Amino acid sequence: MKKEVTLLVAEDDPGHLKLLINNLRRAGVKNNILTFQDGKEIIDFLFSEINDGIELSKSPYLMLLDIRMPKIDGMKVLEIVKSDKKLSIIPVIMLTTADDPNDIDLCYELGCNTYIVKPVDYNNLSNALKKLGMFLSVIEIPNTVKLIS
Amino acid sequence: MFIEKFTRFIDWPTGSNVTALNKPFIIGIYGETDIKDELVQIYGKQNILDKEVKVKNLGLKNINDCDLLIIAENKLADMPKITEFLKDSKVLTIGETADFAEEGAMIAYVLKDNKIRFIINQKQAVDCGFKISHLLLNLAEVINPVNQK
Amino acid sequence: MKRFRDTSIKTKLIMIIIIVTVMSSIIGFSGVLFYEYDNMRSDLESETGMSAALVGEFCVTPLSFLDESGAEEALDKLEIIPYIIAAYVYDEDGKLFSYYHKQDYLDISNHRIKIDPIREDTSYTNDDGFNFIKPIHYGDHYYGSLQLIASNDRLASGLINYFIMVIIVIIFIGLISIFPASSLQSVISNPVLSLANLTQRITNNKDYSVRAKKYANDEIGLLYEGFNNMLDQIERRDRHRDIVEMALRESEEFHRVLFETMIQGVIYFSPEGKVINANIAAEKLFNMSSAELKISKFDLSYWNVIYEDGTAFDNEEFPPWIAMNTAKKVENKIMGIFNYKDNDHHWVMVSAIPILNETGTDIRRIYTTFNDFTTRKKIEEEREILNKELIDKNTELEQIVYVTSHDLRSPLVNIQGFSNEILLSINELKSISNKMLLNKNDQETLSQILDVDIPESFSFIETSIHRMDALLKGLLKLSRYGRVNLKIENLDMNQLTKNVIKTMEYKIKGKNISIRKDHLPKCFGDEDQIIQVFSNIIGNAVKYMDKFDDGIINITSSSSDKYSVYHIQDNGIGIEKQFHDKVFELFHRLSPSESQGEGLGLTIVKKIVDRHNGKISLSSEIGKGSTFFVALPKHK
Repeated sequence: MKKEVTLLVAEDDPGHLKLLINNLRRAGVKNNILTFQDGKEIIDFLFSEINDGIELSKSPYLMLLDIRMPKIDGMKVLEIVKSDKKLSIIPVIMLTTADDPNDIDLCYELGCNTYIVKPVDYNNLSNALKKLGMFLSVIEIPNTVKLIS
Repeated sequence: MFIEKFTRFIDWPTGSNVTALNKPFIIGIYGETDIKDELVQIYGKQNILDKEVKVKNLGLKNINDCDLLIIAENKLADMPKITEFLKDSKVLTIGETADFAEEGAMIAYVLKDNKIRFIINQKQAVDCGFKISHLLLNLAEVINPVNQK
Repeated sequence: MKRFRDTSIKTKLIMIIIIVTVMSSIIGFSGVLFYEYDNMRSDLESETGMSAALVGEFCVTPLSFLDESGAEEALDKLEIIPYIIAAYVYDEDGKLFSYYHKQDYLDISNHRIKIDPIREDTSYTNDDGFNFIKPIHYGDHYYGSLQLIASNDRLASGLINYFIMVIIVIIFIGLISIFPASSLQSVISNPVLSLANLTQRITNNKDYSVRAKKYANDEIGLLYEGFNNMLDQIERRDRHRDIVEMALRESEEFHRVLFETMIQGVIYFSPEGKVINANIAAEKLFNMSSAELKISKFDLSYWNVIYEDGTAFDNEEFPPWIAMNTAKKVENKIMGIFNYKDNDHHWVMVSAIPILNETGTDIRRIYTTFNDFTTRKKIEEEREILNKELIDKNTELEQIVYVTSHDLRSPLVNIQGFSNEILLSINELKSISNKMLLNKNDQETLSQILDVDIPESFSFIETSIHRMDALLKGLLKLSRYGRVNLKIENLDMNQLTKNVIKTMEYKIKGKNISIRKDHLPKCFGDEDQIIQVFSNIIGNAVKYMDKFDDGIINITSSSSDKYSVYHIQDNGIGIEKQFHDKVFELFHRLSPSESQGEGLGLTIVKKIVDRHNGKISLSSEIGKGSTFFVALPKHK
C-alpha cells in the first residue's frame, strides 16, 4: 500500500490497541497510524480535516473501527462517515468482539468494507489491508467490496 | 071444516088421483045438502092435501068422478048402489049421519055435544083400499074394525 | 212446593204415582161423569122425546079437531112417567091448547101463554126443569107443539149419586195404588238411591276407586256408566295431578335452590324497572338484600358503575333497560359495580333477556344475569403484570448475557493477545540467553524455565483462554438465539435435513457412520434456527457414537394434529435416565473428558424449539442409543 495511506484506528481498550499496532507492525504494515479513544474523537478529527480542506484523494485514510466505544460507537461512526459525501470514500474495516449476525449485516448495509471478529487473525488482516491499499490508488473505492475474513 | 083435517089421516088407495098434485081434489056431493056452499066457500081458498079443491054435484052416473063423496042425508037409501058403483073407484064416502056408516059409507060424522064425532066403517074403507090412521080411528067410533097391520 | 221437592224420591215417586193415578182417575171419571151426564141427559131427552112423540101423536087429532078433552086425555097418559112434571100443548099458532101438571108442580115460567111456534125438537133446561118441546106433525102437516117438562131433580140426583160413587172409587183407587206404587217405585228409586249413597261415600272418604254396579240398561244404567266413567277420569286425573304436583314441587324446589345457590347473580326486573326477584349472588354483588332491592325503582347510579377504562357508565346502557326498550336480548356488557362492603369495584358481565307474556305482545319481565369475573380479571391483570415482568426480566437477562459475554470477551482478547506478546518476548529472551555463557546449573535451570515451565504455564493459560472464549461464544450464541427475530415460514424438512447432513460430511468422513432419512413432513419455523437444531442433534449423535460399532443415524417422522414430530435416532452410547432432563441444561456435558463442546448444543436446541412453541423430548438407554423427538408446529 502506498505510504501516504494513514490508518485511523478507533479503539477504546488500550490493550486491544497495543496488540493491534504491535501485530500490524510485525506483519509489515509501516503506514502512519492515528489512534482515537472513542467515536467522537475520530469524527471530530475527520470533520476538522475536511474543514481544513484536506483532499482525501491525495492523503487517503483507512479506518479501523471497534463497534463498542463510548460516546459514539463504531456503528454510528460508520453511518456518519458513509453518509458524508467526502468521507464516504474512506474504506472502513470493523474490528470487534461482537459476532452478532444482525450487527454484521447492519455494518455491511451501512457500508463497511470488512467485518473482522476479535481475536484478530493478523495475517488475514494485513492481507486485507494490502488488498485495500491497492484499491486506494483509485479515487473511489467501491463500497460493495466485501472481503471475507 | 074438518074434511080437510081428516083427509090427512086417510091414505087413498094407490093409483088414486089424490097423490097427483096437478089434479084438483074433487069433492063430490050427491044429493041436496047445505054444506055445499060452505064447502065451496071454505075450499075455494083452502087446499086439501095441498091440492086445489073442486066441489061438484054428482049424479049416479059420474059418481066416481071425485076423490071424496059426500052423500046427502036424504040419500041414505042409495047407499048400497053408491057403494057398488064406487067399489073400485077410490072414492072416500062420507055420510052425514051415523047410519051412513052402517050402510056402507066409510066415514060418518055426527055432532054430539058440540063436538064432531066420527063413525068409521073400517071394513068398507079397507075393502076399498083406504087406509085410515089409527089416530083417527082412536078418535072415532069404529064399526067393522079390521086388524090393520 | 219446596217441601215436596225436598222429600225423598221414594216418597216423591209414590206420591207421583198416586197423584197421577188419582188425577187420571179423576179426569177419567170426570170424563165418564160427563159422558154419563150426557147420556143421562140424552136418555132423558130421548125418553122425554119419545114420550113427547107418543103423546104428541095422541094430540094430533085433538089438535086437528079442536078436541081439548082428547088432548087432556092424551096428556094424562103422562101420569105414568114420574119425572115429567108438566106438559103443554100448543096449537099451530102457538096458543096454549091443553096442559097437564103433576101435583106439586109450580109453573114458574108461566107457560100459559102463547109461545112462538116451534118447528123443530127443542130442549133446554131452566128452573122449571128439563124442557122438551116437540112439534106435532102428522103427514106433512104441522099441528102444533108439545112441551114436556122433566124435573131437574132426576138428573141432579142421578148425577150426585154417580158423583159420590166416583169419589169413593177414586179414593179406593188411591188407597189401593199405594201398594203397587211403593213396591214398584223401587225399580227407579233403588238404583238412584244406591248411587246417591255411593256418591256420599265417595265424597266422605275421598275414595275414587269405588265403582257403581250397573243394574239395568236403561237411562239409570247409562247414569251409572257415566258415573263410573267420571270416577275413572277423576281417579286418573287425581293420580296424574299427584304426579304433576310432585314433579312441580320438585322442579320448584330445584329451581329455587338453583336460583339461590347459583354463582351467577340473577335479577328479574319488571317492565317498570323494579326488582321483582333477586338471588343471593345478586344480593352479594350489590351488597343489598333482595327486600331492599325491591323497594323502589332500581337506580343503577347508586353503585358508581364504570366501564373497563374507568369512565362513568352510561346508565342507559344497562342491559335490562336496553332489553326493555328494544325487546331484544343484550349480551355480555362489562361493567364495574362498586361494592360498598369490599370498597372496590366488582367486574361483571351483564346480559339481559326480555321475557314475553303468553301472547307475545308485552314484556312481562326482564331476566338479567351478572357474571362476576373480578377474580378472574384480577388474576389476568396479575398475570399480565407477571408476564410483563417476565418478559422484562427475560429481556434484561438476555441483555445481560449479551453485554456480559461481549464485554467479557474484550479482556479475553487482551489476555490472549498479551500472552502471545509474552511468548514472543520469551522467544527473544531465549535467543539472547543462548548467546549468554552460563554454568551448567544455571543453563539447565534457565532452560527448564524457558523451555518447559513457562511454555507449560502458557499452555494452560492458552487452554483456559480458549475454553473461556468458547463458553462466551456459546453464551453469546445462546442469547442471540433468544433475541433474534424469527423469520417463520413453511420449511421443506427434506431439503433442510439434506443440507445439514451435507455439512456434517466432513465430520463423518473416515468413520463408519451412515445417516438415513425418511420422507419428512413440512413444518413451520425459522430456517436458520431449525438448521441449528438439527445440526446440533445430529452432531451430538455423531459425537457420541459407539467406537466399536457401525454408526447408524435414522431420521423418521410422525405427526399429530398440531405438530410435525421428527425422530432422530442413533445407536450410540445412549444417555442414562437420570440425565434425560439435565442434557438440556446450560453447560452440561455428559463426559467432558471424552468429547469436545461446551455443553450448549442441546440448550440452544431447547431454546429454539421453545421459541417455536414446539416440544423436545428424548428416549434413551445406556448402550442402546438415543432418539430425540423434535415436535415443531405443522406447516400451514
